Amino acid sequence: MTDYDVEALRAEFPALALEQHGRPAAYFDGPGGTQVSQRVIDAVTRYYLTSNANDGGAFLTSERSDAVVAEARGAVADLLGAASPDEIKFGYNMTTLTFHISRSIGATLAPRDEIVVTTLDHEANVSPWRRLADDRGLVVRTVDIHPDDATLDLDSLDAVLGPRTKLVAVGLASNSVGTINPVREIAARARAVGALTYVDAVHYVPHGPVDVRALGADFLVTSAYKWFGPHLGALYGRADVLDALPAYKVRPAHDRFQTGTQNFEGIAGTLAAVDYLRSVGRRYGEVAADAGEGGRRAEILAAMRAIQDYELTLAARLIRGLTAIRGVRVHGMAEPSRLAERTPTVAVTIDGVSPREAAQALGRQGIFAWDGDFYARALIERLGLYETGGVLRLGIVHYNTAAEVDRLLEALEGIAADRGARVAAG
Amino acid sequence: MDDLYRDEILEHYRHPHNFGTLPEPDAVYEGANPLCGDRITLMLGISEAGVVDEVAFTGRGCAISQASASMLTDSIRGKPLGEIAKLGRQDVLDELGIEISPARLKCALLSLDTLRRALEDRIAWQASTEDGVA
Ligand SMILES: Cc1ncc(COP(=O)(O)O)c(C=O)c1O
Repeated sequence: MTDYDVEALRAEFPALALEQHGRPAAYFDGPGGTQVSQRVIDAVTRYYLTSNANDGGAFLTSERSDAVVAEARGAVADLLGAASPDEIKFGYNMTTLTFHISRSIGATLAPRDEIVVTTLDHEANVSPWRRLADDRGLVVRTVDIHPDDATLDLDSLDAVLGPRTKLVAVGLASNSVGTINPVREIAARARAVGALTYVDAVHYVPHGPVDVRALGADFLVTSAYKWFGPHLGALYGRADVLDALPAYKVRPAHDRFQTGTQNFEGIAGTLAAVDYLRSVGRRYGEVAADAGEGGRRAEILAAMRAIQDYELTLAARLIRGLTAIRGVRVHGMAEPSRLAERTPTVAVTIDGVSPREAAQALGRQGIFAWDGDFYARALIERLGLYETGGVLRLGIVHYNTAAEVDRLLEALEGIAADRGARVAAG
Repeated sequence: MDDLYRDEILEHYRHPHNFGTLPEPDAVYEGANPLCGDRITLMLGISEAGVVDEVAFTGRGCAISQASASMLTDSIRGKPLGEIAKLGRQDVLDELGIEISPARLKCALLSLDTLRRALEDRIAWQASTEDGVA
């Protein structure tokens, strides 16, 4: 185990060497999607070169395809702390997986049953449930937030939970403002009224360890492209819950919830993305190999702890810098003491500069950041920012550096000052 | 980082003190870190006089969470409940003696949190039996 070496890790990501007008690209767009390591690129290539076939056949390439899927399910099970690889299903992306499984869940519900969604969530964990409610005569109830720090209002959760609640759909962390939700507590309250919990972990997973069993989640969804893998979604469903659901699938497909031909090359790349994380754990983490956690899970946990510690130093630097710039507002938690309650994804607005203008100004300098509502439409509306173009989202992941954060801060300072000068010249 | 892995913590982690279970505990609680799944199950034997005369834990997780449980169980053995109730976060952090990053605070304090809940549960249980509920 050695000190976290971000430069050594960056060297494994070819896309991080990209330049724009002679300046290195600075990727602060991680919450929208991350770059991949050479291992992932190699694994996808290797799949096409050595294993390309449909699955379930009696010959070499098909057997290899089966093996890749089986191994990748095991790897994602270890990433999420699932009890068995059978609890992991791959699909096109989180949104499609959620629409698909919502249909199965809906088949077990009766008119006037209730589903709870939140104001903090990405639409992908809201719209499928609303459509389902329209189709089956269900009632959707919404948990509000505390707008001052963009945390979920648990009193409002208690107010909507009741004997008719059948499912609570909640995010593990907000992709817009970074709030980490108390999902264990929420799942416990849902369970107390007999409801299942469906957790959108798409934003959270690249930022810290996950244990689906400790969370008490019945379902949890994630997308590999947010954690340095290909564009692929994965769903965890607790075995007994999945077994009890009717499946919509083609007869006699051998898996009840994976429909049609899978994206095998993407699954191969996803396996490589987990292998990459393991290698981070072996190098920079403290691996609890003798604490009863099998090798792969222990390495992943070690990686995610090391990544979390590192990202936190960058988040502290970024937020400290942002609060010092005149005209810049941070939306969500900004206190240094609450950094562990959030991911390093920071939403800001700049007085007099629209989020799109700010993103364009950054983009011209080779700094990549998203603007808008990122499909967290209800949240951005609740914060009163929808009419003005949402927010500028500054997303840190484990391959960002302190120097990049400083460069970003300097650029933002310039953007805010230009505006100030224009106003003064008025 | 070397600092983080100070020998004493690793020693407690590899050879935890008071690791095991009690056959008839007077207070038990299983605490877990909801995100990473670190776990500690703490068992206390409490004398009539209100002294913790037996203590044991089992658990799994990162070095900091497990070493912290090992150290905390050492420090409460033989102490009266009144004194244990005064233990604060800083006491636990001082005992660990290394700098804990904000992300790791939950790991470091899982043992203390579990201890508090074990004692709260016991008080709630005693109250309910006094009411004749249990
Ligand atoms: C929190 C969150 N949930 C869901 C999604 C949608 O995921 P996918 O693109 O895999 O459908 C995203 C993507 O940005 C997200 O950030």
